[in-house]
Amino acid sequence: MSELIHAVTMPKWGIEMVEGTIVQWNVAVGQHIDKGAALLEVETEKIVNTVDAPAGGTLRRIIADAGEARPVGALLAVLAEAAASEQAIEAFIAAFKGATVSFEPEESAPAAGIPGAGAPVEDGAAAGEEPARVSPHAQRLAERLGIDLAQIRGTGRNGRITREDVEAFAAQAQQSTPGSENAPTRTPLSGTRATIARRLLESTRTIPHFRLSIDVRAVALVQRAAQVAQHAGRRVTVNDLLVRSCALALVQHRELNAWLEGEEILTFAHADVAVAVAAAGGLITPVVRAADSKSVPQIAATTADLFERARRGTLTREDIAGGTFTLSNLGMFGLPRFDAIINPPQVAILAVGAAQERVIVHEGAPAVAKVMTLTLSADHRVIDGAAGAKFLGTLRELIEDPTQL
Amino acid sequence: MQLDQARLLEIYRRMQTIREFEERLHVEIATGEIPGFTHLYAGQEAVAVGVCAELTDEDYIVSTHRGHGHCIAKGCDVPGMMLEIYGRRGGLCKGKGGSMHIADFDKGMLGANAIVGGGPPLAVGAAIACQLRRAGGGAGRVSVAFGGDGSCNQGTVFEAMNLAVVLGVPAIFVFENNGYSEHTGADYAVGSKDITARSAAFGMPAERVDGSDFFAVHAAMQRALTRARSGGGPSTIEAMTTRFYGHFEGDPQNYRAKGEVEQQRATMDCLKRFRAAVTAGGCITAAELATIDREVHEQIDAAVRAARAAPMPSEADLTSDVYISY
Amino acid sequence: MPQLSMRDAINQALHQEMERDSRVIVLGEDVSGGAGGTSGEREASGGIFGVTKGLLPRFGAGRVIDTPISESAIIGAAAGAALAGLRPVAELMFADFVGVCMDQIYNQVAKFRYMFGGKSTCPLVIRMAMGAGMNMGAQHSQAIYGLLTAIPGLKVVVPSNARDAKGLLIEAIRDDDPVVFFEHKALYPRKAEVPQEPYRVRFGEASLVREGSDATVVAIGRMVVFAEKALDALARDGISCDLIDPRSTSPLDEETILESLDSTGRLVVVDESPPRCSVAADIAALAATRGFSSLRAPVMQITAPHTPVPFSPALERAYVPGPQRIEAAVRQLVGTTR
Repeated sequence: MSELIHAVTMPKWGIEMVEGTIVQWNVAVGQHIDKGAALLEVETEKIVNTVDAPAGGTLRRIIADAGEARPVGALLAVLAEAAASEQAIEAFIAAFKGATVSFEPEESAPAAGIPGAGAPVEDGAAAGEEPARVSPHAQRLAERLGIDLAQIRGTGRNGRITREDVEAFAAQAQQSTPGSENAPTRTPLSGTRATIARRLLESTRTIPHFRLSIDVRAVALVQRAAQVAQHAGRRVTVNDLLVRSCALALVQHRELNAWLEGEEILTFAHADVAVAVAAAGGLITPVVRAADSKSVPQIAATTADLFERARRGTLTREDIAGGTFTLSNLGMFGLPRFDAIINPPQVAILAVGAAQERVIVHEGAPAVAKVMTLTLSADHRVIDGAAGAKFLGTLRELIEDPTQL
Repeated sequence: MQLDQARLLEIYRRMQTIREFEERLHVEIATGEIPGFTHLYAGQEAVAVGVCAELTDEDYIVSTHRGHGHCIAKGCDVPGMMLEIYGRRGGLCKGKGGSMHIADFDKGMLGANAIVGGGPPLAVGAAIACQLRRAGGGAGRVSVAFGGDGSCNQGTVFEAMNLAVVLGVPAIFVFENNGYSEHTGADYAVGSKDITARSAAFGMPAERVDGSDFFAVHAAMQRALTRARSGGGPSTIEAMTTRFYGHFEGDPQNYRAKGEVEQQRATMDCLKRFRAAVTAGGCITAAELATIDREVHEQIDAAVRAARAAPMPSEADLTSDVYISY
Repeated sequence: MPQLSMRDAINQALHQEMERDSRVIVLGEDVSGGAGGTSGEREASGGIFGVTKGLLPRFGAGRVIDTPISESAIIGAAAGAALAGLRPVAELMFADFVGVCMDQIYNQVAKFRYMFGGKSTCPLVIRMAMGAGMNMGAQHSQAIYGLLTAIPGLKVVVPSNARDAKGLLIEAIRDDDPVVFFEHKALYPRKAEVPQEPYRVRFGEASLVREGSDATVVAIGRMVVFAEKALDALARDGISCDLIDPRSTSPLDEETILESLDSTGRLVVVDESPPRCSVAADIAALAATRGFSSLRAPVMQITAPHTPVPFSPALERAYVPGPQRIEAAVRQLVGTTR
């Protein structure tokens, strides 16, 4: 059948042609044309040229009329011998599949079931009798550990032994040593843990941290928490009061209520205080929005909800995004003091230790008081020591006289 | 050298294979199924076959962007060439070379070269190898550099010709003067309008022949070969010829006068002239040639169908063959 | 062990390989010199740096081929001879002349095997003298190994001393891929202990010239010599560094650089080329992409400026990275991040 029917397709002329427009048909449907005679004219971006009949026969169908554009390979017309039935021509058109010309790169592999691309493939095998290839650092490590390199299979280029290979070999050898009762449990980093690791590493590497500590008397704050709780008829923690204290201090000292983005400092009118929570997958910091304009009971309700959802692992992206400052409170663990790593792009973080009874000097005499140590870590690129100290001063006033909260 | 009937038929088959290969590509390229751009050799068959007729697989050739004819004349596998031109798995160069970079080292075909003037220095190098082997008692092998009239204006070609003369190596420079360097006439671009004299000025025998006459090309090549194989150094042959198609397929050839190609097809068709010459002599009949035509047509048709049906190269092919070891 | 200059070490490697394998030939302008001269002295130069001296009398004009000044023909002929089964060592004289024959190097030699679907073998070595510091001006002083390192299909070797040069050249001649071999002019007279017998130094295997903990210094070619001087000065102040000489820039021993960086956290790359798209930039990118978690400080690149090589000795001294710049860079890096 295919000998009787011939496709006329949009030709590919030259290097760049992907499409052409039909200028005119020189032959009408039903007319006969000889092989090689000028059948139609096609215009491209560069030229008008004639398309010759690829075979002799009657022009049975014109698929694309003058003025129409078609891609290279598209069916333009059908030539056929008289013997070809109309039905056969319809079937030919329906089944026709022309070439496609595209200069776009492909994402997918060109053929199925094919091994992935890699480094340039070595197709002339290296001689096997040569001494083991080993990197200088791997050699050094092997010598130190007393490992025979001949036992190690290299995974580097051309089977070269890398330092990682020596380390892996040493670890395995240790594990498989009979009587070794202290084999490590290997756990790959979870997604959250990996994110924490990456962000904290970035923070310590890129931010010049400085730390300021201050002791504050906490008796009033603890009492105030109980008072508000009773008044509001709900659980209110010291931590909720600390969120509120920080928020009020931050709107007074807006240089700490800020982000550093590239060469730009962004300061905010409201304090969105992120609160560090130890969740199952690792540290997470849900945000109490505009804590400066929320009452303490409102804050308490918000944190209760956030902490509960942190425990259940149902916090959303919005819950944890966009804090302007972070509060980390490890008081419940009884730690007297600690310092924290800034959560970029924020520029400061407050670490709060336990409220503990300590001996203090009060009006020239030793006394016992409930004291809490606050440690501010700040980004020295943006904040100077004095600004940090003033912020801590305001915070102390608010905590020691919590009636303002 | 007298060519017997069997040799003449073999020579005709080579020339007709090139013609059929190129005429068929002309049709298939227009379908858009063949990637890239392609330079057809139709019209110049007598040069490739006339030059390669007396070469062995131990003799070398380097070819050009218009290289299909040289490949077929030197004995490259035709289905493998077609696969290569279609960019398919199983192509002579695994689909990595394409129309302009076909090579077959088993046949002494050191590769088509898409840089005009890129090949002649390589041919001189191969000729150095031939010379060294001959000095060691080996046979007198030769190395042929094909080039067009365009390449004769490249400095690399001057350097190669001079070096060949300086070293006296068995290199043969074949300039196929088809009248056009891409879209510019050779009469314009060759300042002296005389490639033969220019080549002779480097200090080697050079002769101009009718490139549409197989027997003229063959005879000139015989003279050059005799010199080269016996330690007589390099030669140049300038073959006056024409191409029946554009510089590349789709070239509208606005630089050629209306009717030029038709007239050349009528008067400069090396196949017509070969047919006329051998049938006039009475040793070969038109029917014998027609049988060859039919067989060649079937061979090329089968090669096209096989190429169209062949799988594409695998992604692994992308990164292999850059180095032998790395 | 005998002390040999880099010039003599390379010369010895050529002698030994030509002796071992009759397919090895040497070609280039003035590799012997004297042909066609009036003195009748047939080995008038033995290479303008004397590197190929003695080859002509020993192996004859069939294998030690003086060529016209035709760089394209030299490289092209060497490549054609390699395709036809010989193992040519082509000499380009000055590396700067790559400009005249770039087509043969990067369109021909580098691409044969790939274009021809793995069927060709082109065991070619292209030797060339490079480097600034000898008042030879802009067209005879460049360190252009980076340009060729960027080309797939070529191997690129830059020895820093006589001992490596011999082993690397023997490896290059025996390697089945095309190899570009850069010889720093200022290193030719420098001597080192060089074993008499033939030996190979494998490509893509860096040499750990010094060991230390404060920073990793990667230096190429003559810069290794300067880095050693800088490290001597730093050692007096208790600063110690790993000094890595990659020896080949393609393939590049990424493992050794990354392993060292992992233990030091600081990287200084010293490269005689201008900085843009250079081997220094390439190694810095390696650290940024695959060694990021090891980095404790920004990578420092000590390179020539983005200028041609100047002529005046005063300017050229400022052009070439020297020991003081390397020392200062390490001090700055170690000082600010310790």
